[in-house]
Amino acid sequence: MTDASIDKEAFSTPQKPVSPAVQAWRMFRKNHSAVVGMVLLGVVILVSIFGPMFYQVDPSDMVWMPSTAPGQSEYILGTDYLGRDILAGLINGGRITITIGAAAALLTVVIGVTIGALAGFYGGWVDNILMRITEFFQVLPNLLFAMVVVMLFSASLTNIAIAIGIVSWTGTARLTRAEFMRLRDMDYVRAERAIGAKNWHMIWTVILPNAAPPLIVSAALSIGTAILFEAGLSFLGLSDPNSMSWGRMIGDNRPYILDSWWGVTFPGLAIFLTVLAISLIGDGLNDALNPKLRKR
Amino acid sequence: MSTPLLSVQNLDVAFQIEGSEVPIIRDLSFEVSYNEVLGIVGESGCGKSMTALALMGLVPNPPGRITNGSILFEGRDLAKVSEPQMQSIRGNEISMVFQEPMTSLNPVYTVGEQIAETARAHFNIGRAEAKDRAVEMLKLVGIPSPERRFDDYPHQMSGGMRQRVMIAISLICEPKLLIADEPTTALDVTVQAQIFDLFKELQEKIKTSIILITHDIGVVAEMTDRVMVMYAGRKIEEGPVADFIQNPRHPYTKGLISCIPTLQENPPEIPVPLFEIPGVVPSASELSRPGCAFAPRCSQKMDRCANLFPQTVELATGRIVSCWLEMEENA
Repeated sequence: MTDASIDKEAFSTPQKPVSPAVQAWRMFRKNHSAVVGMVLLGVVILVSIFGPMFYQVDPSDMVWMPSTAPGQSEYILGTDYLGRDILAGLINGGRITITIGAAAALLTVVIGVTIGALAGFYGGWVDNILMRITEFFQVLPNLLFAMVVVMLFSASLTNIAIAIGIVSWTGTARLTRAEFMRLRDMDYVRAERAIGAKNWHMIWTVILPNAAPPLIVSAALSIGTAILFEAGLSFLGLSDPNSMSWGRMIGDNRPYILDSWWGVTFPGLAIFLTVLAISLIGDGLNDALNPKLRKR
Repeated sequence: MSTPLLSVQNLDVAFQIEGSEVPIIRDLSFEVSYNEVLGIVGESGCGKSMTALALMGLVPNPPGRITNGSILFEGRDLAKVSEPQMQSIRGNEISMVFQEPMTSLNPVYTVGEQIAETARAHFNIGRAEAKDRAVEMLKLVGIPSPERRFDDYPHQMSGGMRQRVMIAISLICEPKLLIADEPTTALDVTVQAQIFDLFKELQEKIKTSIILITHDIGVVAEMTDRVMVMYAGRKIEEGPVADFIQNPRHPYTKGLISCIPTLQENPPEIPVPLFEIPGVVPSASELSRPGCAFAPRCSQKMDRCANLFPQTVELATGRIVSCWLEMEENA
């Protein structure tokens, strides 16, 4: 081109190109409550990972007199009806609770995105069949279905995570499907097809990254939902008897709530703060990833 | 005459609309030779873009499908090959540039990644080599400092730059045929000229045949070797470009050409209003009527025009016309 020299002046960008991820992070930082949420969740995760190394009390051991109130012994949050240290329970339970939450959320996303993507991309009879399956799962009462699964296959951590995953993927599937149907007819998708992209490539590397923002938000929020779900199951007694989780602590101490409030309050607070933190982060992600709020 | 690169024969495309099959393209035949630029002209809605999609095997199905005819591309019938086969032809051998450069690039990848990705999908090459080729291609389409521009996202580029990137993507596999569907409609006039210069330059360099779809006769005169005029899904006139511009035969073509404003040395005080063809392009549902689809708007309409579609007449100069007037004259 002869006029390339003119172009050079007119089009050169002074600043370095910014990737969408960096852009999103800048937007996220502006949302203060989201940053608070992230700090809070960071603390919870750090304590769960490293806490047991520093505070070496077995959460299943009887360490002191049963039902000792907080501040009355060296165990600052008190002991439960079996004399187990509540603080140790919180620290160790965090691991289990967050692991189950994350695993269940991951399963939710994997199943939901796969089914939604295939249904939305192919449409027609594929969509019909997959959506009927989705509806089948939607009409089952979630908690009841999860309870049945856990009871049938024993209450191990894996089974609990799987049970939560398979009852909660339907929303993600519908969201993904809607996004795919919207994006399927975009010009760049047509253009990609015109240069010979295969279907598989179109689904996973062309459309999915463009559908990612709402999916990331929903995935983040589904961790919170999964944690609540786990707490719910444990409260009903369906928890892994070999590992301490926040939900199980609440469930165990429920009968003694009138005599020793601390048994259920502290794990309840832990769940509340963690889920709140995740919700705040989800809200921040929504701001950061929503193209309508983002300045170009 | 050697065998053409592309030979479309009696192509029919129909859409299923409310239970009845509506023809969108009817009995379309044309050829594109190696290293030739064919222009397809016509008003909006006359089947130009649908022809392009039919060649790419991208007619939206449902509701559309190719109901008849063949698309012979180097001996293979594209109307009959399977979708996986078509996928390996697209991009590799036939490529397409769309109208809308603003929305035709994937917003989540850098332009360089998109070009390199295409190269990697079609050639058996590694990341580094794909990047080299992409940078080279960016340079070829006239993007300044291509190494730096490689990492730009589409939204950081202007429309003209994006269209250059689109061209780079569609040409990186050196296709034998490039279909450009109104590639400059969304761009302003100066950028238009640059893009067309680029097309010409690349066509000479890569030896690609081009089908240029446009409604701008000026562009056709500038760019193409041969022109085909479409109206209501049919070809109504075809011929070498110079002869076509100078000596339009079909009343519709005459109308199109008189629609172009001309430069006048001593313009009159009160400017003569620009010629326009009365009426509008018939809608798809009106297409199944017998007779010449242009008849209701034609200034030289005869009785039989309403009932019978005229046969095509081939004139000595390589001109093909479908009009009763032409048949009269030759009879």
